[in-house]
Amino acid sequence: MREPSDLSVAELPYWIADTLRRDVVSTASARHAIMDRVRCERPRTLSTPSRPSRWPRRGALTPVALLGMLAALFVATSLRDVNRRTDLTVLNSARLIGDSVVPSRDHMAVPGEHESFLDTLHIVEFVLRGGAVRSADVVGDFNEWRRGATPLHRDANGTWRTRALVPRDALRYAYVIDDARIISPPPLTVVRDATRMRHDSI
Amino acid sequence: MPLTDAQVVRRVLAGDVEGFASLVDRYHARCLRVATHLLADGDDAEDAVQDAFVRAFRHLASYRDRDRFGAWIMRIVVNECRTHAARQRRRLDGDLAADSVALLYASDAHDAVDRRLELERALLQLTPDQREAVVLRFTDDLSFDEMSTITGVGVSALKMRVQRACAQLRRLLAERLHA
Repeated sequence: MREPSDLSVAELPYWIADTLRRDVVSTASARHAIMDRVRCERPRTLSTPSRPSRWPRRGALTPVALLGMLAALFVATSLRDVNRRTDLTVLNSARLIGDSVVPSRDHMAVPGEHESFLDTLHIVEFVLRGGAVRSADVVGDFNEWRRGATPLHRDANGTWRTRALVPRDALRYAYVIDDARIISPPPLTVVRDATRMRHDSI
Repeated sequence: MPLTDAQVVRRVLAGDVEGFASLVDRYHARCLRVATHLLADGDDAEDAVQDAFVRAFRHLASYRDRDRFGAWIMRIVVNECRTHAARQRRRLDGDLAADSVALLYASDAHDAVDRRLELERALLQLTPDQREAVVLRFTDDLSFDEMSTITGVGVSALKMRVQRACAQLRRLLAERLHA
């Protein structure tokens, strides 16, 4: 109810206030219409179990649904990141197995002369580990960058490896994974291990 | 002895749907009076009040302040009127239909109907905020604290709105006041 102190704030002439306070005419069916609609509704927590609506308001989520969606989003994001890390984390190495003496390539085309020219090539093992690799091959100066010329083969441990004869001056190479991704390691550099000559790395 | 609003609400929540009719009987006229002055249209007002009561019934379980059902239902009515007014802004911005007002006050004498029509036209000249404030203040005889609870607007702002609305109404109706 109005308090006396409020009367000083604003006042209206009596007839205006009286007009505003008078009841208005409503149709006789107004209350029946309300009850007709009410009978078709149910308060949400009636003791009679009612089927709960998943969407109480259009465009709104229940807290449980919101938490579920956030959890699903988190899991999906995590899985995607894990897959991405798994896919991208491919370890590669190139290892010098030994040397091999073969007829010099420059003189192989000249009949009768190749026997007198020999060349020493490195036997290099190219290795890939990890990642969801379906196919891999190595290209480089030694195979004139021809795709598929030196494929890697998967062993029982899931490691992809192959061996190739690499001229001493053919130092650049790269891996082609799944015919799409290319890993370009630094050019080969022979680092000889004095204690383990067979495991020299390149 | 009649049941209190809180007792009726508990019975309705327990499954006595027909008990809600007593709440409709208690507050329908009051809500319709406010809605009519807010919307300046009898049909729209009845629709808004009907929607408000159905909405109140649907969310009856969320009603906590069970001793003041009147303020709660009035808050819903005001919100429904805001929604209806936004949908039918063209009516509020345009001229008031004389037939509509005459129908509402059919029992009054011709002069009284004429006077009310002028008042409704003057109310339409106010801003929606001012109209809402002055209607709640004088139609339902509410205190500013109660108005603040219903509208969600601060007491100071409401006092200012009522003051400006009264000044505007006095100016608009000056001709009739001096007659």
